[in-house]
Amino acid sequence: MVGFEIRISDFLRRRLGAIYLLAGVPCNFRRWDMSLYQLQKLIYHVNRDSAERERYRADPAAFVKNYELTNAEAKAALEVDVRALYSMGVHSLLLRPFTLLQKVSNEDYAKALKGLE
Amino acid sequence: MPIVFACAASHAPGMTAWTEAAPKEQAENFLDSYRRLGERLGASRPDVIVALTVEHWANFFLNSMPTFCIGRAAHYDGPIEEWLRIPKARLPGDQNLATEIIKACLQGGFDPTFSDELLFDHATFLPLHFLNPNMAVPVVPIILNTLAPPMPTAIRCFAFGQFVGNVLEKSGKRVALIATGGLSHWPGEAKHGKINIPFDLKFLQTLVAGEHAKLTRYTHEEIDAEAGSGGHEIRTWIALAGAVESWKAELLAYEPIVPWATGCGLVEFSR
Repeated sequence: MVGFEIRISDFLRRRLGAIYLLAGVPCNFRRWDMSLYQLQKLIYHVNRDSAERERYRADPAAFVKNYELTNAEAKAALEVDVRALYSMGVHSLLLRPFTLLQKVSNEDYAKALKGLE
Repeated sequence: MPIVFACAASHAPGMTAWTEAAPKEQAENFLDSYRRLGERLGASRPDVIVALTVEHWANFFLNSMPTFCIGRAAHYDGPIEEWLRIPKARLPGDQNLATEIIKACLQGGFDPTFSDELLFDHATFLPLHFLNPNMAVPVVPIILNTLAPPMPTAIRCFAFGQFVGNVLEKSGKRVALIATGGLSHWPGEAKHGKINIPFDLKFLQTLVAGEHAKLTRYTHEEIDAEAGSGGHEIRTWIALAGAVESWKAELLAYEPIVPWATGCGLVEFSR
């Protein structure tokens, strides 16, 4: 049942997100989601803890499984999808250091966020 | 002994990390003012520097985010940023003064957290690089949450500053009080690089005119929309205005430095 509830909630979330985006409303109603907290925690650990950073670098796919993420969040974290992570509500001062560790240039970072102003 | 020196200053990492990216005249004007301010801080012969400061996920995370945190450590290491081009150093703390401030707060109607171990990121380390060049004067950091909403209100920051200012005036130490952060900037955001010059100038004018009631009316939403996520750091300036409420503020420099992506300001206060 738990899995089912999560799927439903994911589904509603995506639907609401689509409606909000179509209406041009900033889509930040997810900011208190547990999984956004987990996603930011993952990034905080990689940014600030060298041992965790090494574990992440050694096996990213295994590392992200330590956090309670939705599939979309895990994918964005693994692919360092700047635009997706930003749109999910990751704080910019967590995101930019995280992307710097992956050698994302200022230009590429700005390009990824184009249109989200 | 009283507060012997007070100033507020921006801390854009570009000031040291990519200095040369800025137009030469603009950078020199700003950084020369910063260094002269440091000379005057030194000339005030402080026993301790109390820094109304912020941090950028250096120590705290959302598992426990203090609204006001007073550093009570024996020493502070920094900067955490390898790329800041400021030599790493260990700064002495002042555990006695920190304890005095914490106790006074708890007895006087404020309930800050305290920490015996804090690392400094550029928010605290960069201003000290200019203002405390030998890194010899002990430091007591007071960190305001300007990072993760909900944040302390402007009026509460002002009142907290007033309270801490009174404690420092009676502390028996010569205190240099600094505030660090702001002005408008959108670090790492889609609007990164934008600087809201009218917002910055209006804030500076209000501060210099001593219009404290107006300072306390800045809302979270207004700062967020007009000055960006980095603009929330003006809360430290508002707290400083409370701490030296009767002092006169003078604008030393304002430069909207686009390559540093920040409206950079320096204000000195005098009795």
